[in-house]
Amino acid sequence: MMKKKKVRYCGNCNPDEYPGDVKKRLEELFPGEAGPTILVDGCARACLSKKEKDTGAVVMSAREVMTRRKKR
Amino acid sequence: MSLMTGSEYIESLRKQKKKIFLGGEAIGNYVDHPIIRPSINACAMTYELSHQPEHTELMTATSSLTGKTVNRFTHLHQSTEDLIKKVKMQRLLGQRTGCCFQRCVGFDGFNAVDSVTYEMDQELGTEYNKRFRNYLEYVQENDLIVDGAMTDTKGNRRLSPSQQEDPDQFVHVVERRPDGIVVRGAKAHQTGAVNSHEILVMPTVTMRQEDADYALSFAVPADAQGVLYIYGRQSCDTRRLEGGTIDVGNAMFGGQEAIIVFSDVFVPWERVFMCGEYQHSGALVERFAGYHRQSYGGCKSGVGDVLVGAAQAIAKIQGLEKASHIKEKIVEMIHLNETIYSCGIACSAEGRPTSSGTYLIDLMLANICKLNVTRFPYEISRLAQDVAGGLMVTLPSEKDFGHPEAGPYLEKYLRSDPAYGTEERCRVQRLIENLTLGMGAVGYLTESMHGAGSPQAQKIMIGRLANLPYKERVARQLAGIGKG
Repeated sequence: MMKKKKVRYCGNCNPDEYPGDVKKRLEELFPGEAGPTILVDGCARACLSKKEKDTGAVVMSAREVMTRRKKR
Repeated sequence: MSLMTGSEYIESLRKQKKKIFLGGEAIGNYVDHPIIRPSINACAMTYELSHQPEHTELMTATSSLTGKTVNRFTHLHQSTEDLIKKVKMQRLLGQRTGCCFQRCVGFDGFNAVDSVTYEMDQELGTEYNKRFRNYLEYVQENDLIVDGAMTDTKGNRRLSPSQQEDPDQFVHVVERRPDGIVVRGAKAHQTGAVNSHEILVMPTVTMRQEDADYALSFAVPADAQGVLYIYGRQSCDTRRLEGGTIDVGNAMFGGQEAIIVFSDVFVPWERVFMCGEYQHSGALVERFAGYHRQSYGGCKSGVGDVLVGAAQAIAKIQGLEKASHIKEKIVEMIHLNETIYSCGIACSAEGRPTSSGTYLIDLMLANICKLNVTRFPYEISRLAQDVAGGLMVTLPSEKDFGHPEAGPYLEKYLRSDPAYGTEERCRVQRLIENLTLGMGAVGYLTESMHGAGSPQAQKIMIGRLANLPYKERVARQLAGIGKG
């Protein structure tokens, strides 16, 4: 059984993309309740993923979220 | 009940019956007053963002006192990471409100009072730190806003507190009772005072033995008997009474200052954190100032982001965004703004633990941060005005745009790039006016100059902390000169 999807954000003090837009886009990319743990860094400083090393989570930057195409 | 929402916070203020004067009148329903409400909205944002998943990492922390999740504004810093997150949180809030969100003074007060009372207890055998931490637990549990009240009215600046002709020019003890103390005096320039649930009083200068009655720190509910507020005016504040949303520049958010008068206010002993220990007053002033000087690296860079964004927007609307001198000015604004931020991050990264376990910023770098803040927002504002053009100060009222005869002329002659509406142009011009000349300039400019201490206060600290003999020695060594 697939685990419940979990999204964690860095805090977004000065992000590259507007956090509301990133949130919406993530819902499009990973629809539904089940899914991986995703760590989203707001900018290239990557505060969250630097801190949470080796957790096996999917790491994405806000910019990457906004530019990635939805998988068919 | 920790982590209130924005609307719960606003409702919690309604339960407090404060005595407030504004424009020559006592105000009853201050929560919905059009001049006051935007400042309450700005405070509410500190609650609202703590519930948004994309911001909880910055907006919340695990309490060192209870282990529970608390709003970061009530947290004692436990690491350099906490200090850095504080600055990042402040930048975020500056971006979201475009003004002072008023919750930092109490936050900085908590961290300063905690470490100083701990050291007092170690040296004097008192129990101030235990009292303070009990109080802070109450603040965390109820997610309260606490006004950190430091600046006394000071009277004749040549004279110390006890030498003043009027002894009430600095807050002081007028009576000691078995169950507590009675205090009198006033605190000036109190940011967010009216929007706070509690007031945390600290001394404003280093006290000497003869000023022992003024070496005082305590907390009272913001609506305690004998406390009253006289609301400060801001440039263009009565535009808030006109009912529009354009001419105010920032319709939703704003800052706030007030004078707080303590007219014989009773404080029970469990809420007294310093009473006569003048030897420790200097440390409390210095640490609070240090934390608050760090704060400005976050909040002012956040508001700076808004002004940089407004300059870029108006350049586009007026068809100038590709002009090389405009691009250069905007880059210069960014450079200055990021320099402020860099100093906030640097003094946090170089922080260290105090004996209480609470982390303190690097005081030298915090003072450098604030000294830059006394200058750079003025230059950023000058550049924003340069980019915006004179329309910012000659633009007619939004009511004229709605007038059947004048309106169409304004719509026709004030349109620029047809891709953008005239109203869009006016709104951005008014936002720049707000931040550089109007209500927003109180927080972005004059507060940057005098808040957390005027520039001279930072220069004194920088001179004291600089270790000039060492610098002289390395210079002499390289110059081939012996010991000087």
